[in-house]
Amino acid sequence: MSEESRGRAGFGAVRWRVEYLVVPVLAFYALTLFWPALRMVLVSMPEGDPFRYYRDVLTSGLYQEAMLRTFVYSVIATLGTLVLGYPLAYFMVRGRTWIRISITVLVVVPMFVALLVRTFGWMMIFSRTGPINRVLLSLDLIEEPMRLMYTTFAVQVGMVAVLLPFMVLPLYATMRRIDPGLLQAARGLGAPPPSVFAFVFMPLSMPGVYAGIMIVFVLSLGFYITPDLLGGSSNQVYAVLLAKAVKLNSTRPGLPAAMATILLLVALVVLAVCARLVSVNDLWVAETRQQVWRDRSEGRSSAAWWHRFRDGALVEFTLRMGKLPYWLHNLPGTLLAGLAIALSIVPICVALVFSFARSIFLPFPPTEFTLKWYYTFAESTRWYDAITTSVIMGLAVAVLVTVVSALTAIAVVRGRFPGKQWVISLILSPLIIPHVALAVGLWHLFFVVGLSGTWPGVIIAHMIPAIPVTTIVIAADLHNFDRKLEQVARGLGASPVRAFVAVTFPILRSGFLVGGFFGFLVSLDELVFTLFLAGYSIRTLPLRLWEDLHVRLDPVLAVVSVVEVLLVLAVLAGSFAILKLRRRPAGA
Amino acid sequence: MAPEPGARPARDARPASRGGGALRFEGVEKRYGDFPALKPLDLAIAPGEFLTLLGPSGSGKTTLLSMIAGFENVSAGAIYLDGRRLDTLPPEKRNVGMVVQNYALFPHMSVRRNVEFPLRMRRVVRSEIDASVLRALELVELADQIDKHPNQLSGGQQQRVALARAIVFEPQLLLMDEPLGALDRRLRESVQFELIAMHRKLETTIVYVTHDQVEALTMSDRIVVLRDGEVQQVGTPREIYELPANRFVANFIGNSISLDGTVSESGAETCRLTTAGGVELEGLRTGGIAAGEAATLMVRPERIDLGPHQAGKGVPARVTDRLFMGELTRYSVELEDGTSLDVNQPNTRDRMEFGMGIRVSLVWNASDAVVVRQ
Repeated sequence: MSEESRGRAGFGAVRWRVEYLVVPVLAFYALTLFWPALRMVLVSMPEGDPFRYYRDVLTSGLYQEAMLRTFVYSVIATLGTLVLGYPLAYFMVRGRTWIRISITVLVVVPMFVALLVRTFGWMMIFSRTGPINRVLLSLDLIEEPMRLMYTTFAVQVGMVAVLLPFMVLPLYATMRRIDPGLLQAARGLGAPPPSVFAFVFMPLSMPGVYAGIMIVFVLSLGFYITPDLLGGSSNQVYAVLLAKAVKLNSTRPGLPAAMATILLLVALVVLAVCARLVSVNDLWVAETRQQVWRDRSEGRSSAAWWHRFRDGALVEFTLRMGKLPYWLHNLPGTLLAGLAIALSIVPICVALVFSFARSIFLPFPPTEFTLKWYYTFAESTRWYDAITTSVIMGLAVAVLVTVVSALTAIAVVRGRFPGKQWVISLILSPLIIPHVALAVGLWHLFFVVGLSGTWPGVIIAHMIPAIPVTTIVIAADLHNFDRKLEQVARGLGASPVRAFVAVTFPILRSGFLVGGFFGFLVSLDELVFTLFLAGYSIRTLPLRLWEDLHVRLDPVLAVVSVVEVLLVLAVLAGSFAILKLRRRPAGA
Repeated sequence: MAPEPGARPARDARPASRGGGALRFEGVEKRYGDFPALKPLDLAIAPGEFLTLLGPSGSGKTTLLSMIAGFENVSAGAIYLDGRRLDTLPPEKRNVGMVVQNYALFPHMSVRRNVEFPLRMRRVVRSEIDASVLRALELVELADQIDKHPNQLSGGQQQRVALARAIVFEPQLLLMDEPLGALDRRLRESVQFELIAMHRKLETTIVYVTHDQVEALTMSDRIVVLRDGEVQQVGTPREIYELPANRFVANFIGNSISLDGTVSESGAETCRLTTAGGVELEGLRTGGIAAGEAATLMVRPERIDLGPHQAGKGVPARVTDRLFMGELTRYSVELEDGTSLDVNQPNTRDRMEFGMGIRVSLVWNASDAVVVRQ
C-alpha cells in the first residue's frame, strides 16, 4: 500500500477496527438503560417543586420503615450467603473430584432453575401443613402449627437460599486461582491445616469475598419477587412498595420514578464504594490478570491491634486447632456446606413431591399420590399458551442476544481501546443493578413510545439481563480459542474477515450456541421486567405462575414448576453435550 | 517485651546438633494403582551431604522429593531423618526446608512476613524472629528488600527470598526442586556458585532435584541418576561421568560414544570387545562381564585422540566432516564397519589437523572407556 492510499484510507473512509463491534451493545444500552433512566429522573422532578416526590418518599413513615427493613434484610442475606457460600466454594475448589462435581451440579444447576420455582418451593415448606411444621409437631416441640409464611424469618431464609449462587460464583472464581503450591509450601514451613487456611488461603480469597458481598448486597437492595411472595403484606421491602406505587400511580408517575431513582442511586453508590476494593470485571471475565498485592494488610489501613491479634492469638489458636483431628476442624465447614446444598435443592424437591400429592393442604409428606394434576395441566390451554409464549420469546431473545453478544465479546477480547474496563463494567452492570429500578424507567418510556404490552417491547426488555450472561459465556470461549490458528490462516493469505469466517467461526460456533442457550434460560426465567411491561395480553410462564401464586397454592403450580425445571435441565444438558462433543475432535 | 504465653526461646525448637541430618531410605516405594512411580529404593545420605536426584521428567525424582517433604504418601518402606521416622509425620511436623521451582512465595505477604512465617508457626518470640529474619536475608543479600512484596522483586531475588524462608528455621534438611529452572542461563550460573558457597557455610544436608546434568555435576557431592522410577547409578559426579553404569547414564550425562559388540576376552580390570564389523576395542570391565556376552563400550569424545593412520594401533577410521568450534574442533569420522561418530579435539598448539577423507586412527586409554552389558 502506498503512502498516499494509506492516508486516504485514514481520512476518507473510517479504517475498520475490531473495536467497533462494541458499538451495537453500547447503542442498545444507551436506548434501554441510559435514556429510560434519564427520563425517569426527569419525570421524578416535576416543574415548580422538583424534590416534592423525594420529600414524600424520604419523610413517609411507611417508606422509612421499608428502607430500614430492606437494609436489615440485605445485611442478613449478605452475611447468610457468605457464611454458607464460603465453605461451599472452598469444597468446590479443594474437595475431592466427586465432591467438586456434585457441589457444582447441586448449586449451579439450581441457579438456572427459575427463581420463582424455588420461591414456590419455600412457600410450601413454610406452609401450615408443610414439612417444617410437620416435623416440629411430630417431635411434640409445638402443639399448634407455627405461622412461618409471611414472616421475617421466611423472607430471610428465602433470600439467602435464592441469592446463594451469586455469592458462591465470585468466591469460586477467586479461590480457583489460588495456587495449591502455596498451601503445600505453607505446610512444609510448619503450618498445620488451620493455620494454612487462616494465613494463606483466606487472605488470598478476600477479593472474592469483597466481590460476593458487593453483588449480593446490591441485589438484595432491589430484591422483589421472593420478599413479595414470602413476606406478605406486613413485611414489605422497598422494592415491593415501589412495584405497588407503579400500579397505583399509573397517571401520576412522579412518585414511583422518584422511588426508583433513589434505589438506583443507592445501588450505584454502593457499587462505586466497593469498586475501590475489588474489580468485579476480573471475576466475571475470564481474563487471568494477576492480582496485585500491595501493602494493604501492612499499611496504614490496618490497625496495630489487628497485627497483635493476628501474630499472637490467631497464630496460637490455629496452631492449637491443628492438634485436633482433621475431620474435627473440617466439621463446621462441612455442616455449613451441607446446609447450603440443602437450601439449594430442597425447595425444588418439595415442589416435585407436591406435584404428585392429592392435595397441597394435606400434611407433608403426602401419603396418597396421583397424576391428576399432570392431567389437569396437560388439558389446560392457559398453561399451554404460557409455555408456548415463553419458548417463542426465549428463542427470539436467544437469537438476538447471541448476535449482539458475539460482536461484543469479540471486541472486548480482541480489541484494545481506552476505557475498556469501563465498557466491560457497563456491559456487566445489568447483572447487579436492581432490575426493578431499570424496569420502572423502561415502563415509562415504553408507555410513551407504544412498546408497552407488545412482543418487541418484552423481547427488548429480556435482552437487557440476557446480554451480560451470553457475553460472559462467549468471551470465555473466545479466550480459550487459540488465536494462532487465525493468524496462521491470515499468514496463508486470508483477509481478516475471511480468516474469521473460515477458521474462527466454525470453532466458536458451539460457544455461540451455548451462549444462545443461556440467553434462552435468562428469558425463560425473567419476571421483573415482564411484570412491568407485559401489559394485559402477553402471558409468559413465570408471569402466569406469579399471578396464580398470589391467588392460591395449587398442586398444578407444582406441576408447572416441575415442567419448568425439566425444560431448564434439557437446555443445560444440551449445552453440556455441545461442549463435550466439541472437545473430542479437538483432542484427537 | 514480655514473652507471649506459650512462647519458648527459639533455641529449644532447634535440633541439638547444628548442621545437617542423616537421611535414610529403606525400601521406599511409590505406586499409583499398578503404575510404579518409584521402585523400591534403599539409600543413605550423610549429614551435610549435597545429593542431587538427576533424571528426565517422569523419572520419579520429584515424587521422591515430595515424599520426603510429606506432600505424597509412601506406598511402602520408610524414611528416617537422624533416626527419626519421617514418612508417618504430617508435612508441618517434619522440620524440612523446601524451595520449589516457582518459589511459592506468599503474594499477599511482604518479604519479611514470608521469611518469618516458619518462625511464627514455631512460636518463636518476636525478638528472636527479627534477628533470625535479618540474618537469613543478609545471607542471601536481600536485607534491603525486606518490606517489598514478592511481585515487586525480580526472579532471582524471589528465588533468594524462597531460599531465605527455607533456611531461616535452620532445618536439618533442605529440599530443592529445580530451584534454578525459572532463571535465565546467566543468572543460573551465578546462583549455582552462591548455593555451593551457602551449602558450605550452613552445613545443611541438601537433596536437590534437577534434570540439568551440568548443574548436577557442578554442585553435588553425590548424584542419583533416575529413570522410569528406577535408580540407574549412585556416585560422585566424577564416577557418574567417567564410569557410567549403563548406556542411559552415559548418554544422559554429557556426550558419549557407544560401540556395540561381543566381549572376546575378559581380564581382571579390562576386557576386549569385538564389534560386528570386526573392530577390536578395549575398556574397563564392569559388573563382572564375561567373555561371549553382548556389551557396549562407551567413551567420552574428548578422551579420544585422533592420530595419523597406523596399522595395528587404535581403531581405523576415515574423516567425513570437520567443524571448527573455537577452543575445539569436532571431527565426524566413520569406522570401517560404517559406524559414524563425532570426536572432539582441543585446539592446542601442536595438535595435528586432518582433512576430509583422510584415514586416521582413534586411540584411547583402556581406563577411559567402560564396557557395560547391553
